[in-house]
Amino acid sequence: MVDTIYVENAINDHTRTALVLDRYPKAEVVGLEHYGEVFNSSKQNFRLQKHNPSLILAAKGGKRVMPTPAQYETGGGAHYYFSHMLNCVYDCRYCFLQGMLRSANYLLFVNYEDFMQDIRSVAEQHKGDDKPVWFFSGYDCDSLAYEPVTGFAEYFIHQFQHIDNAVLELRTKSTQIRSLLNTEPQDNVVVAYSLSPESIVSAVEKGAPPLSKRIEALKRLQDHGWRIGLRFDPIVWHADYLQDYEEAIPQVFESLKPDAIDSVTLGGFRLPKGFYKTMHNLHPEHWLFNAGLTEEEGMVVYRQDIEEQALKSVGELCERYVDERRVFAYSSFNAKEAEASGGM
Amino acid sequence: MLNKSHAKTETVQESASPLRLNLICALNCEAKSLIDKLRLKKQNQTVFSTYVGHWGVADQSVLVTVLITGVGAMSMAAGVAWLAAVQNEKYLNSVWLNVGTAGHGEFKLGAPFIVSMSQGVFSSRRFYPPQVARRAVRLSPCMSLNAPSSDYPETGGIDMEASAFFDVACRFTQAELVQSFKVVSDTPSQGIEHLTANIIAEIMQPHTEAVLVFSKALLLLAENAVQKPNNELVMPQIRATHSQRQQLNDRAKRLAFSLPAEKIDHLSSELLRLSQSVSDEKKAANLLLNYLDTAILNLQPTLHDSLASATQKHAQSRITQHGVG
Repeated sequence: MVDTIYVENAINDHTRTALVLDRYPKAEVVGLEHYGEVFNSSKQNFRLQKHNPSLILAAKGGKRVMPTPAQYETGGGAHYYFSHMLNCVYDCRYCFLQGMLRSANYLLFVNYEDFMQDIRSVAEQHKGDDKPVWFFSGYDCDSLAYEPVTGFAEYFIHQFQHIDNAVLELRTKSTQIRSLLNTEPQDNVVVAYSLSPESIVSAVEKGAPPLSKRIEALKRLQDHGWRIGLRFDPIVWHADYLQDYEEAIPQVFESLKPDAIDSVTLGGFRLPKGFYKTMHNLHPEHWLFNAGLTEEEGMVVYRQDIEEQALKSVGELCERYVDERRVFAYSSFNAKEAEASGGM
Repeated sequence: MLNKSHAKTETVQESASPLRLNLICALNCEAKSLIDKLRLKKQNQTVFSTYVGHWGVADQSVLVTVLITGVGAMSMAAGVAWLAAVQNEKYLNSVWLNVGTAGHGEFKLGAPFIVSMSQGVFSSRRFYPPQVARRAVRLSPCMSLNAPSSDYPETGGIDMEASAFFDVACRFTQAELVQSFKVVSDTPSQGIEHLTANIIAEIMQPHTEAVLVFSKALLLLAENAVQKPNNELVMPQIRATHSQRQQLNDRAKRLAFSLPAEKIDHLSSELLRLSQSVSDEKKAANLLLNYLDTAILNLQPTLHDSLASATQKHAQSRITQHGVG
């Protein structure tokens, strides 16, 4: 339960600010000029703030829609991402946000209208492309986990109805799918779930729904008619990881209609060196940061033999159910432009 | 809720305690009830007045220091910097709590609050202390002025030290552990004219317990602020290049945090044995590096089995809870 909410003075009268504040009648509200005064201040401890994060309501200025690294392909055309929120209600030990951000407070940008204006403008630039332009949400937060408070999916899905050359991908681990089940499915929206075997969920994805619940949510979404995607990213290597994935993957695919799965992506645990150092300082005792890792062109990644084996074996397990053309593996050793593991 | 304080005293500089609580007040009368409650002992021959003692919190002995800085930003800044210097250790998880009185334009006389935003007249910088510790009192912004004033803001507090306190104390610990607890001593209807040392002590006294409860919440957070190695991995004296030494230290640090204490002892002995077994001194560093790399690789857990056993334990505990087992 959030007990402190910071609100930028400029958005005091924004309708969405009032809606969010209504959800937390007992929280104390602190006014501020710019979110950076709280979110980016020095000497903050991410690990401590995870005990009781505050919520910051702000307006996002500057660049709101960014191109994704070239390798992040899921079969679409040009790829972009945008973040209506920074930080996540879950506490996944591998999440790069711990290394990238100074604060664990939830930063919610309420000016959805400005995001949409930028998205429309980017889509317009790709009007003549062969393939639709792809917009990812969920790199810097979970797209659905905070849905009852943010109403994010409800708003953006509706807005995407009117952009015929764009696809919205919502990346999530959450089972907050009520708004999606209450909406007519749209062809240009993909709900992509980050999945891990139950043992990994329990060991390193603190607060996130168990695999069985995510599969259940995927099934309900697919039955309702939504396009779905599966993300085994990061694959978390451990002594008996193969055994875990051998159990989890049939469990996932046999609960769904594999032919109707949009795409499957795989990636190893990988981080820019600077993020890794910060995260290792926060959790020096954690095995995730201490075993099987190496440095490769400014990134900390699994050793090449480990990553290759993981991508190959998990990829093959997936290809038993879906065509290999719909399985995309992100290798840290082939990509010219390697990036951090996805937040979700 | 809180254990009785111990009579045992200690000097400001020395501490065997892993947790420190620094309570910083401008005036002695603001600190009096805390000094009495915690039975702190005055330290002799220090630049600033200090009172020191131990406080038992959740099976831990916390070293408490009350520092009296004097009134105003300069005194506060000097006092905090002095205390940090004499404590003379990298206490990255020390709790620094400013306790004192403030005027307020909205709250009633005697009302406590925790500072949500602090700004001084000398700087445009604003401090928003991260609100992570659980609190039972309200938040309020507070402006720090350079002289007493009867010009109250409509909705905030005024004091003369909080901004300087945040500016300096945040340099010595985590921002979440630096907070300010104020009690309203004057308002637009009851100005500063009525304030004497006795009256201030009376205003502060009813909030002693609340200050300690908040301190305890901060100390519980502080326990999680810095991870400590489980044991020291002793590296044998060998010939090694600077780069090899760095690599060996990096591996040693990882293992010291990850392995249980007894395994670290065993590893230290193994490293010593290995280093003594090498006839060519130049090869020792690489041999130890390989050995440590293997040890690190072996840190990866077998999650499959541990999950199965956790599930089984959970199921058993449920059965026991229901009185079946």
